[in-house]
Amino acid sequence: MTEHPHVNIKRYRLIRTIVIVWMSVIVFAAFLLNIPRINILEHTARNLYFHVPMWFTMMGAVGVSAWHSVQVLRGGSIISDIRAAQAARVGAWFGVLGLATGIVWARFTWYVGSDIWWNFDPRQTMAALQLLIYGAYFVLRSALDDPEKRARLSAAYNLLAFSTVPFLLYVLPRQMASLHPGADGNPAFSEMTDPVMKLVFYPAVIGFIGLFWLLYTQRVRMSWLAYRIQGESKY
Amino acid sequence: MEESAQTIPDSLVSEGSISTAFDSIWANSDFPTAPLSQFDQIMLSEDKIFVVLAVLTIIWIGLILLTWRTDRHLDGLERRLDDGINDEEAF
Repeated sequence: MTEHPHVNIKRYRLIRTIVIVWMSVIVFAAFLLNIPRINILEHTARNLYFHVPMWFTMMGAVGVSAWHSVQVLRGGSIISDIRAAQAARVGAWFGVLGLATGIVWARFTWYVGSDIWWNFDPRQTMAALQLLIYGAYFVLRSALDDPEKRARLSAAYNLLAFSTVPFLLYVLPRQMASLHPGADGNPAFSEMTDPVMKLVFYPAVIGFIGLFWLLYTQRVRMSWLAYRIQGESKY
Repeated sequence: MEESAQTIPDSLVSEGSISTAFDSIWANSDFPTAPLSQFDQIMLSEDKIFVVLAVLTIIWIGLILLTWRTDRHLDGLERRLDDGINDEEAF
């Protein structure tokens, strides 16, 4: 077994096994645990276990990405840039899944019987805007060829993008009239969620963050390999 | 009852659940106004459990796509590595 200079392979494999078992239990528990029925919501309340952790994971991921971008700006090595880019990539992917699952959930609850998929609800619009801001990060990266310049410029932009996250995903949607829970005039998560659901919800959040860590570590290994094989300009 | 069952899913007229207060409000309204499409009837049946299935399927497909992309990138790197080795042998 070759040693990887930046990844503890033994720890990676241990967490991989834990995450696989953990998430399998979560999927079963999500369907089997009996929950109180609320009208309109019905069984879709179980989406809490899948849709909400997508956003928690996305926020954690872009946090990891921003931290490594700070390291880049403080004169970090190539691995900091690799970690910042890959954490943002996997995190944005979780964000896309969060938006897609939210659209489907809203279609059959908020917009039931009205045939609407997208109605520019502030919560959804802000989330889409957030993903576009991170989309620009990847466009910026692919537009720069000089590795030093790419690392520093994209790190600076990444910190700017990260600074918008609390506002677009938390502060603003809560001040505006939205159908999403936690908005102005709507009860938030802690007020409307039955305690029994927290038995699955919190482990699901931990499980999805673990899953992010696996996919992120895989891509860091891949990117480091690309750097070793193809050199500085391509990784 | 027979007639209304075509337009209003069972979930909206259920009784005696934890949400009876809400039930009575919705049961008395003419919601939803339009007849449901075939697709909606399926998605809203069984107390909307198929919506959860759809959400889980989206996440599953999303994770597969991400793994697929990682895999393809690795394929490319392996090809580059093989080419490099072949070049060395040629010399």
